[in-house]
Amino acid sequence: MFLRSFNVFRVCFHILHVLNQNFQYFSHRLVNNKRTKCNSIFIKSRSSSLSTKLKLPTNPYLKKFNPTYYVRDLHTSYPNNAVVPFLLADIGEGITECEVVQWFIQPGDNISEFDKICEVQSDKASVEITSRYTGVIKKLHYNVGEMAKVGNPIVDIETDSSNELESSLINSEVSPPSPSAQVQSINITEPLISGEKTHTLATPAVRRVAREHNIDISNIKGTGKNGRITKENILNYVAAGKEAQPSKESNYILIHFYQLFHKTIAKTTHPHIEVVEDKLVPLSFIQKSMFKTMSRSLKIPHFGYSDEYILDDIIASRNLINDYITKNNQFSFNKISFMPIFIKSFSVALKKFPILNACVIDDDDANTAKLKFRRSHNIGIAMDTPGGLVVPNIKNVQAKSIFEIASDIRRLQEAREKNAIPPNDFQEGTITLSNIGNIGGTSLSPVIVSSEVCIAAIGKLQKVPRFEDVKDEVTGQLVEKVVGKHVIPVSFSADHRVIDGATVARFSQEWKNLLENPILLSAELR
Amino acid sequence: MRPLFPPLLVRNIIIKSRTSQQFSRFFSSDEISSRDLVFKCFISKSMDPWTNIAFEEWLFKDTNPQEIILFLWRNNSCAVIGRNQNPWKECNVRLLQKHDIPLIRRKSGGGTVFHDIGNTNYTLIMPRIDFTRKHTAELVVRALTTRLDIPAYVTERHDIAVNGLKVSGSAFKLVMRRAYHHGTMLIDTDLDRIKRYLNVERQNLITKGVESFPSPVTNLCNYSSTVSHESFCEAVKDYFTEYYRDYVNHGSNKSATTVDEEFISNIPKVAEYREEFKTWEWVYGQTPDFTHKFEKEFEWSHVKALFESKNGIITAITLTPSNIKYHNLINALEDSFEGRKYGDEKDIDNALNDVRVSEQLSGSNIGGTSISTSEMQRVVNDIGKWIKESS
Repeated sequence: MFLRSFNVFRVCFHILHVLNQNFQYFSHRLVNNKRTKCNSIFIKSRSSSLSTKLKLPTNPYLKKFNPTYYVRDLHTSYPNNAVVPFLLADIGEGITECEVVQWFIQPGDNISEFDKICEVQSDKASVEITSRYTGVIKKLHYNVGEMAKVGNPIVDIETDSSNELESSLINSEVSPPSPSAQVQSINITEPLISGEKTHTLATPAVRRVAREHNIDISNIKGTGKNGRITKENILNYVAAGKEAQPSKESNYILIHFYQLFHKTIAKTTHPHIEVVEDKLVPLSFIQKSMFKTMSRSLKIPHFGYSDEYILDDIIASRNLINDYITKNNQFSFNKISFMPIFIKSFSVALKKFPILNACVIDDDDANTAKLKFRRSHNIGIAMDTPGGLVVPNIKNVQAKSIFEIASDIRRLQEAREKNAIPPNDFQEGTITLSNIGNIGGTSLSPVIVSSEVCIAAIGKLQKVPRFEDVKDEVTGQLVEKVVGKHVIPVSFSADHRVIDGATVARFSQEWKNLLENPILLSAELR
Repeated sequence: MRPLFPPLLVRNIIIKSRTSQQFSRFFSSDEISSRDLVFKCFISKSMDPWTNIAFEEWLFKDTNPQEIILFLWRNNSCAVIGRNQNPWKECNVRLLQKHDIPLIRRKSGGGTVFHDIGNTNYTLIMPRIDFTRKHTAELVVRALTTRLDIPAYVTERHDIAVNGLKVSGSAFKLVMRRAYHHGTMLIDTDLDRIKRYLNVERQNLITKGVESFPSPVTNLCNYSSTVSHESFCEAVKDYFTEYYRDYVNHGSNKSATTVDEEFISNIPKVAEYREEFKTWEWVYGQTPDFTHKFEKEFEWSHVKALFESKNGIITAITLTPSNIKYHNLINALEDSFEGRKYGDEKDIDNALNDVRVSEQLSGSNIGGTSISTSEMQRVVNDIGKWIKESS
């Protein structure tokens, strides 16, 4: 059991290391030092089912969720030459409709991405709408002077499918892959890998409805134009009595780390066919962006520093805090994890080492480079979302209590369930703290975010034997004994252009002190 | 210290928000990799409204989208209507023409304002992702409160007010990569003139497009003895430069570029835009569809008129006299008016002349019933005068 889970975690790690799907950027690369057999398994078995190679338990429930490399990341792609309705996107400020003032195109015109389509006017703002697609304009839904509703189509564009993969990936905020959706993804792709052609014509809105109702869209007969499946078809299908659909309950049978495994496989596997020969594939849009972000971090010379902290006292403190929380129902969460405590103590230690919270500007040349010291500690935390790893930050940690930080984390977790973390939470981070401990890891080597100078990563909490001087009950003397200690490995990376090893070492000692002696946290209270 | 945390301080991690589809498209990969923003400030010495608005357009369209630009300007007397407004509904076009006051249609939305040299305009041009309605207004308010000691605040309509009275209105324009927020600031305007030129009671003019939201206004000079165009520009420029200090090019000597006629004459595009802003097609031709009803009791008959107009041109006109004796003459007038520019005196005269000429040619006997020439002349003149007054 342990071996299986160990293998699972190794592969997860490697997958996370290699693949980051979706349009969230994270400048965070966690490398597990213990990369041994895992690699070869991964490489060898690239073209075959993972489950056989890694000998997953043949749980009958799991057979349904057999993850193969054919699993495609959930998005809506169009069959060839579909007519795509271009929706009027949200122009902000809670505006629900606006008047069409001017069309820049006519039906029949060729249009490419980013070309102007029309100008709309809300009460005070005049907005130019540009096209998302390349193709031919088929139909204008509004005349000049009519009120266009946000979220409704304003033009129909006939596109060719080669563009669709990219743009649907970009726009696939439609896909909050819930656990049930994993199954859906497999179902939807099956027609594509099987020999028959089952063109399911449906607009993305309709596909979303199908997903929500857990229906395989290829099973529905369409009554719309050209055999298109409409929303009514789906609702009728649902009302008419469902056939055997993968029920939601079976998902809950999945054990936690298997769920994580499937999530990572399903979401992070590159959506494609098996590789039977060498192939040149250009980077997807998201990969390109990640490439650039990572390349920017390259110019920072990293140095690493690792340490391990003993957390027995913190564990006891946390239990006390959780008891307190369960007694008092005033919080939005039932218990806290270690993160709020880590974050707050991090911030308290950071007060003594403000250079770690700084940022380097004008760094092209040593003569123009400056350090910008920042007053607020906006600590970024790494979060695993259904769509990948993201790093939102908690603002002004120096002014928040542990409870407030915990409720912030709770809010972010809730937002990430819906894939709806607001952009404000991703901006103005000053330092990052990453906890990969729930997956594993001991010695880590994180990559610094290019607008910061330091990053800390926490590995897995483990109980390990350590020597300690303990008072022997019999003799009353101090005797060296082996005791079990809860130890957590912590690794730092810092920008060696402006920070030296001693600073990080001292900071680590300070943080360690606060964590190993939690009473000192309260001594720092103001 | 930066009291605001606007999206302006976007770090190098740019996360595409799933809540806004358009956000994700505005970045090409190159833009993501470098957010090299630069802040620039321009102050205009010219008071020609056409020149200033053309220059603003040039700054918006033809400079680098990575530049954040503050432009401060003021105009001689002029009336400025929003992109999608009806000038005949919003202001007294007749009076403006009579007093030779230019009427300008700007490219951003919003309502109608009256400018004179006691009113200073500010424009902030920024990348589209950083745009929020509150941002610029907040900064201007802070400039006023901290540097000029004027207790201003931002209203919920994103205007600036002091003591419950409006001092600044604003409008926005958003295109793919850029957006701007510009607004007025009443420093020492003649408020009566505003009332005079912008006061139009036209209940029977029903139009599409955006209507102005009139509010009671006041001048900044009522709240401060030191405020003037120069001190306002100074305060705003300093505050914005301080706020954007990370993006200011410290290499250049001056903090703001003064824009005068010579500077502008070196930019041919500005002249192009200026001409475009002056054309009838832009100012009146961009009027949304509207209908206008009015009636009058003449000695010879009671006439009702209904105008329908698209793009400033009269597409249909119905004149309904109560006395059928003039029916045919009225029909001739209707035909003649169709296709003419609405509210344009010359065109109305042309229409009338056409009818007069055709009358004379056909011997004032259109359709049979006999009307004497003098009668015909009187009817035509009366109607002409009435339409000119009412439209």
